[in-house]
Amino acid sequence: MALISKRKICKFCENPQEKIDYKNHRMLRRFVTEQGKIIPSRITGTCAKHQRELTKAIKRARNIALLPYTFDVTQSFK
Amino acid sequence: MRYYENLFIVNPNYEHDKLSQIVEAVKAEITRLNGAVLYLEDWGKRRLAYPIEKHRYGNYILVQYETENSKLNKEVEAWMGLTAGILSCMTVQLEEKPVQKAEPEVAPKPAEVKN
Repeated sequence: MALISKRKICKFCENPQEKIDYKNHRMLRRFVTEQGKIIPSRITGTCAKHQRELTKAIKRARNIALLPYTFDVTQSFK
Repeated sequence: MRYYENLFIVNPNYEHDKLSQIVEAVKAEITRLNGAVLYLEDWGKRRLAYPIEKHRYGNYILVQYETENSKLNKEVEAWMGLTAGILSCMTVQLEEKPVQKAEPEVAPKPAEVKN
């Protein structure tokens, strides 16, 4: 039964001490791709409530240059 | 009472004296507009995720303040926009009074081992 994958659990529900804060960009980096896009909750397993908070935090962090809006991966090989 | 948090980026070429001058000016501006600075933290020079005004680095400074004046955040932002040396700023309204020294942002301490 390889098709049935293990149910992912929301990291923030599991661990209530972990606050979603735009200033903690190291934590937020786990939820964006290499290119800087926000990873959908269906991949990360984050619940809807926390995904909304995450999105807000990531957008705030982008605004103040803690996270990139985009990152051109090909640029790093030049 | 409203609580705000402002994170702003100062030109990386501004060193000790010039930097503290800007910080003092920000404090003075907030007090002038009937606000009270609760907390101020210098994050130091950091690499920006994308260049701002062709600068790759910036001095991040976090300031938390309280006020009765609901327009103060906009006024402070407008003032920062006109101030030379401040590259960018962002204000966030906090829901509750910030707990002092809540986030050891620069150097997170290793978790204590409890047996």
